[in-house]
Amino acid sequence: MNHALVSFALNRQTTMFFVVVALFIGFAANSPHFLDSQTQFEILRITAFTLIIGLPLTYLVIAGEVDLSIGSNYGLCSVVTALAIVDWGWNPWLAALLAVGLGTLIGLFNGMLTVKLKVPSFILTIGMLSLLRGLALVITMGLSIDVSAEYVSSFFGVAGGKIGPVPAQVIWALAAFVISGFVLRYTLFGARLYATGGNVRAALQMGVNPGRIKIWTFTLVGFSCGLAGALTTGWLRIGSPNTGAGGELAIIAAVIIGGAALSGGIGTATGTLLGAIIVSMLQTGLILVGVQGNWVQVYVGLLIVMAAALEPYLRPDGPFAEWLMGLGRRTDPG
Amino acid sequence: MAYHDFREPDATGADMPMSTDAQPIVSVRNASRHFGRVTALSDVSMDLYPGQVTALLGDNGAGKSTFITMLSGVFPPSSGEIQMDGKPVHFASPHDARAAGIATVFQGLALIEDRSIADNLFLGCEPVRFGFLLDRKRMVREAKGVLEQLKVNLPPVTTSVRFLSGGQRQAVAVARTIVTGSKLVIMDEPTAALGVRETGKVLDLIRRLRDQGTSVLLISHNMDDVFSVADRAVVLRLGRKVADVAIRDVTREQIVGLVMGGERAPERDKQEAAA
Repeated sequence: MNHALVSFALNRQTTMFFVVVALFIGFAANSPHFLDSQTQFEILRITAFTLIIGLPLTYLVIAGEVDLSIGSNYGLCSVVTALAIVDWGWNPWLAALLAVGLGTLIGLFNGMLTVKLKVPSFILTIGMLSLLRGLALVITMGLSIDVSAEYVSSFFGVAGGKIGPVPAQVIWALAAFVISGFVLRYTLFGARLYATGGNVRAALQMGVNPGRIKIWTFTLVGFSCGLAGALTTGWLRIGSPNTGAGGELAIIAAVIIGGAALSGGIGTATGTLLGAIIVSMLQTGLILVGVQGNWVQVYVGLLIVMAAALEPYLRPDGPFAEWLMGLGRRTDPG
Repeated sequence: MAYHDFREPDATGADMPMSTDAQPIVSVRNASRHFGRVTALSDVSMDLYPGQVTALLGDNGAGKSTFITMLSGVFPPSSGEIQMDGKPVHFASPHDARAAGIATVFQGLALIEDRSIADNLFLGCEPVRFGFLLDRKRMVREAKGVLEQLKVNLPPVTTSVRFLSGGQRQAVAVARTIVTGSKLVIMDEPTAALGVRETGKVLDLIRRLRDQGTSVLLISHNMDDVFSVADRAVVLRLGRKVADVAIRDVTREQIVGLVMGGERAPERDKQEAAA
């Protein structure tokens, strides 16, 4: 078996695509309502929110850093959007802009502290996770803010409407996916992102500025949290301080299942897309099949553990690949 | 970002005769470097000529690393100066030195494991269109050209560096210096981790660089390597230059003696004679 064939067979994307198909068939066969278009669009909608934050997070993981405060940032931005519309009487578009700006600033702050003060991003963002969630609870006094139907704006249509049967969020996520994939594969920024995470020392020696790349990426993650927060408030017409609580786990799960390595330098947009579909399909499908809600978390966790444990064996230069190559040699002497 | 098209030979091209009459590419003049109260380098002068392989020798702590780190732009000399083509230059960063034509092949090779050979060759000086789009076609085409020029056998340039052997990695790191059109290539222990056959290949690479008119500054502890490729040897001891000799004028034993500093008196005479 030659190199190209082995690397195709072991391509993370190929494997995951089969996992997606297998899950789909499994759920479709065991649940009468799984194939309903409503169910399918619900899965896509969950996938969409996972992707809008998950794609920039993939960038960050490629750069060798991580942001655990995404769920809290997302929640705070959602609350701030609602607060600006209801309490301050802002135009919803302006409120959304405020939320996006706030999210971006938080991302920039995370980036500056990680790069300039060399605070490990894991520790820093655990702190930010608690800090931002706390802020969201403090400014709302723990209560959700309803954006009642009397507020009329084109923003609500853009955030939560439908184009034909397709939810608007899906369109947003699709755009995010196309742009992210393109940037990773075809731009200078993409190349330097991989260099930064792949070998910081080498990047530095070759004149790449890894610090600047990381700050930009943190900022982008913050921006996406702001965007997701504004879209959520626009769609649900509610600003809840608990929005996105625990969401960071589902998003990080999607990114890791998608093949991005927390050690940096590896990851793709397509991988994260497939990872997000797997996670949201599990979340929806398991409930439809009749699995008790709390068990869903167990299964998602199991999948992360498996993905991480099997990864070293399935690498293109790992034991499994060598075994496959050996197989080829034996059948093809000379 | 300085980008050099390798197919157009430089003015100091391949047919430059190897002679000391030529203008040195890089001259270091009376360079000293202090770290606090420690003097790592003391009043060292050195001329590096096109088409010449200079071996930089010395025991641990002799100042070799300080010398090449200074030349590659990480820090400036405390006193003295570096000249290129007769004009004094100041490097604020390794990037400056690289842009000026001084490329260093680091001991760690500075390669990204999971990126392709082509990506690694152009790391830090990627050809782009419209300022942000990678010109992948050009990267692949020129990567092939550079590797052909070096006559090295590598898998297709889209292969990840992860799959390459030690010698092949060294070849990629050396090829990178050609991509940026370097006039001086500094190699830090390029054969330290290699087997006999791969070492031979790397030495061939060094000869090919020399034949193309590049100046090579080679750091090595291996006398076999030094005597097989170097034209000249400069010996540092305790931060001072103690010898600067043509390889054909010395024996292995003399060089080892100079490096170890065992025979103090005779070698002082030699230095005076050389000066």
